[in-house]
Amino acid sequence: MESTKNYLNPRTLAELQSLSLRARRVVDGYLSGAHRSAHHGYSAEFSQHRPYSPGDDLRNVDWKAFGRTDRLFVKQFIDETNLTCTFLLDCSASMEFQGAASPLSKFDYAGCVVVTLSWLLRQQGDAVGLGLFANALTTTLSPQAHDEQIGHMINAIETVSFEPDTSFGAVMHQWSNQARGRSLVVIVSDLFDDLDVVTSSVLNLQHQGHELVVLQICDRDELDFPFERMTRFRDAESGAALTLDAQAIRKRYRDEFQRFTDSIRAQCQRHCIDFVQVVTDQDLGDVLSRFLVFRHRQMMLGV
Amino acid sequence: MSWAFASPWMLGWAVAGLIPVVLFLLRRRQVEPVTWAAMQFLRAAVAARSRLVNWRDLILLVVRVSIPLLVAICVATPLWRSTVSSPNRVDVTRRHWVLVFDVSASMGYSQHGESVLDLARDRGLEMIDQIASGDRVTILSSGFSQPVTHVRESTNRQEERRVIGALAVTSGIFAIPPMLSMIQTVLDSAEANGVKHHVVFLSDVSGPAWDWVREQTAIERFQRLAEQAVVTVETCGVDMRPNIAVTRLSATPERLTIGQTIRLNVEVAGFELGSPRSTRLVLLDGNRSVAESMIAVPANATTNASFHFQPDRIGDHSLQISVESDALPIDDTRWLTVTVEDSIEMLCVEGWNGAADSLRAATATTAGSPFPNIVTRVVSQSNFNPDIQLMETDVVGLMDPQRCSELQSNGLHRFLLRGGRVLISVGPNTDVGWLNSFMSLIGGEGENDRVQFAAEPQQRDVSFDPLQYAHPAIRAFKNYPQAGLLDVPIWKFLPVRVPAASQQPVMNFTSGDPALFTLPCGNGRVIVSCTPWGTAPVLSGTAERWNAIDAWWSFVPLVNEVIVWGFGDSNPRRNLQVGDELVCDFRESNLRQQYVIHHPDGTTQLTAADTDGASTAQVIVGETQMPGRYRVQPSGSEVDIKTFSVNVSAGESDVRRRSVDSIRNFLSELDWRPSGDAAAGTPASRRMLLWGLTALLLMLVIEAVLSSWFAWQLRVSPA
Repeated sequence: MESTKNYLNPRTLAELQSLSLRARRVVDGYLSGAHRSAHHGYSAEFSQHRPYSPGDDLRNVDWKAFGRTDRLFVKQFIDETNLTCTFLLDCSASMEFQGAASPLSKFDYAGCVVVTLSWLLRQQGDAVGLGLFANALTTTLSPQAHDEQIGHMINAIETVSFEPDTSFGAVMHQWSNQARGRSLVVIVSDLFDDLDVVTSSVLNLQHQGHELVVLQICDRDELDFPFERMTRFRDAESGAALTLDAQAIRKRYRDEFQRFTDSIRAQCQRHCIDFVQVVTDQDLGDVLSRFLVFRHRQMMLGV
Repeated sequence: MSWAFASPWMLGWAVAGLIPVVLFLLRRRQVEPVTWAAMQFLRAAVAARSRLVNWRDLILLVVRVSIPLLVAICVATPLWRSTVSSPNRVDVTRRHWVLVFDVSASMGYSQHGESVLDLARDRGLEMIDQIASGDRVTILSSGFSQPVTHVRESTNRQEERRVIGALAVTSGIFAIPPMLSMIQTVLDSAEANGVKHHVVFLSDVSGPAWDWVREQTAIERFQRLAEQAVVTVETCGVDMRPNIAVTRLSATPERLTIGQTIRLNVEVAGFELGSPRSTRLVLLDGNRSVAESMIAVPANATTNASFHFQPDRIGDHSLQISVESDALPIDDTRWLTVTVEDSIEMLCVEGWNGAADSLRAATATTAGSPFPNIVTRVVSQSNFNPDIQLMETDVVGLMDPQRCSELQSNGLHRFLLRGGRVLISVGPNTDVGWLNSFMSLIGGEGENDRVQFAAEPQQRDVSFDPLQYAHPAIRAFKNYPQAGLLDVPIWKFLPVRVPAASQQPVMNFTSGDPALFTLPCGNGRVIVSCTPWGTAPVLSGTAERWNAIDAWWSFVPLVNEVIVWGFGDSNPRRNLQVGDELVCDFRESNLRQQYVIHHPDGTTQLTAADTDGASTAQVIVGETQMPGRYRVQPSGSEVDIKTFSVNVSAGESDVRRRSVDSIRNFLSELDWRPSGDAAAGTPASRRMLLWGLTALLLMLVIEAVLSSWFAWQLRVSPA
């Protein structure tokens, strides 16, 4: 069990070449943890009983069985798709960035997150889809509720070609035009675009009835800005260079970054959009927990 | 190494000042390339901070560059021009400039037709042009023992230019101690209120005079001077100046009797030659060439040559040794006067009748004898009249003297002071009390400086210890043990305590007590034997058995050698140095009203003599001004011509520039510094140093404060 839990650590994940293998390890590691009984399914057809564990929803306790056996059992139901989830994964060149201390690039980490979550959702029987975007949607996989979908997603992610520019607003608009029905939309991106464009695009999606989760993928270097000397920064997307005394502007840079993130977070909170900042050296278990807790809360609220 | 701003060495500070700039540029060049995604935040940060960062870089760069430059200002001698009033400058104080010119012989060193004094003179004129019109100027020069004041607190620039233009190289030395006294006098007499004094030495900074500045006495005197004035040393001329000089010429003996041979010893020195050189050495007797030879002069060392010369006539011989002429011609020739007499006149004063018999017998010259012709006269002590009998005497022998009268003692003392020789042989009748008091006339002031004979003789069987024949008076006995000097039986002697500093031991007894020693006195010399020369029992018949010296076969050569050495070891009154006073004595036979002085440059001078009664005449020529041969003769007579040789100080030949570093070490204690070359140099006062240090400290504080402020502004924190 310990060995599988290790796969929640990005550094260990980085040693695995295959995204499929990475995602499976993450899922195994995660499900063998403390929250194994929390989310099994929410369909109507009864499947089986299992012993009650602290934390299980009391509404699912089979009180009749308790009366017969004097033991607590939880009712489990047969999987049935009741959710359509689309992952919109940023594949602009900025996502290719990998800091000096980071084990994975932002895109690799984001891919890992997408596939892992897709896997979990598929375990629940939900339909998952994928959209890869940069300055336009480059790849679109419509949500499907069969197991081959994960393979298609992995294939799409592993064969991605990075685009040199991002056009967040146009992409969201494009996707909303071709989306059928309302669904859970998980935007996985560094969000490095104009603040107003990002927020307006996200809110626009929400207005169209989609349920939104925004995962901002960041590298530790992008947060801390650890450079000390004169440094020539070359834009990963446009290629433009900027030479400056890194130490002298560190504080200002951090402030600017924090201000950007805080603005998006505030907008999301105001409109009940879940915003999660993910750093590529973070344990994936934390990321999954936060996502699933969010999903659980949504279920409890009956959203 | 020079510390003037104009010195090339100071470029090192400019390089130090460039170090922050170079580091800054290198730091900018050593950029680390990074492919970056979050450029939008970076651009926003740069837009907000770039101006502050640029200002920080610029200000800190300026501050950091200024730190080494301020250090340079602190340690360097600023340009003299900067301290001199310019037409547009407002002076808050009046200045008094004391320009001290070194006009010693070494300043005559010429290269490309321009002497070092020419350079100093040009520099002096340049200074005069720059001095403000209201400032006062005093011009001093020194090329002899005493400095000369040319202009005293003048504001007449025309007069000062004329005086500087007229300065000429002398043959003397740059005497710093009297010059300091003169400067002190000038400053003391100058107006003190509101006047700032500047003393500028213009010198080649060579010769022993500048070695003196490192002594404690000099430091104290310069310290006193620096309290009153800003002192600058301008080093004139180039650093490397090759020079070949005859630095020493001596003869053994310098006084002799006709028929004897002189051995001439010549020392030739090469200064800053770089490599050994050959030169022709020529010996002249008067104007007649006697010998010549080629010698190799080593680089930065001395070499010696010797000549043998037998004078063929009685009288003064002015011998002249020359090397080939070079950039400093004044030291290419040295002169030496040797005096050839027909005989050595010796007066023996007997303490008891017959005491001088042995000595007279030993000095009686026979035909074919190798010894000089010594004419010995004998007087009893009671008939001894120094003022009369010593006029024609070269050597006085006091044989077992009893108590001399005060008149006799004083006469002997005067005889010694003017160059006479006194041979004292103590014996049974010698009054030790008188002898000790007579010796006190010769010795120093303190009790420990005096020769002190014991009251009672010591009775021991001893013999002579020749002290390895080191003394020239007995050197002839070396390698000749058959001469018997070491076998002389001695049974009794008078112990004596001789101050080690003053005595020149000739022989000791085997007991370790002095047996024969000499003491200098004025230009003369006393030779003392601690056991009598004339009490051998066989010959004298006295009951007192002291020794058998006079009965031994070594006695005759010993007496002759000692007298020849005593007579001829030097001729100080005839061989002088430039600046010494030339005084010429004439005896009764050649007294005249007028005497003619022939100077080395060919000029003659007629002068009267100071007469001492009717027996002597003294011609005082005064301080000698130039090297060469001086001749003094009675007017209208060609017989008694006295020749004098005058030479420049050998120290003036040493044209090696005294290390500015060593002077700086000494100067650093005074807070003043020399300039590095003739072109520049300034009074750098203590106040300037303090200002420089204060500014430096301020800059360091500013740098620290600015760095902290910028760091706070930019919030430079650890990553």
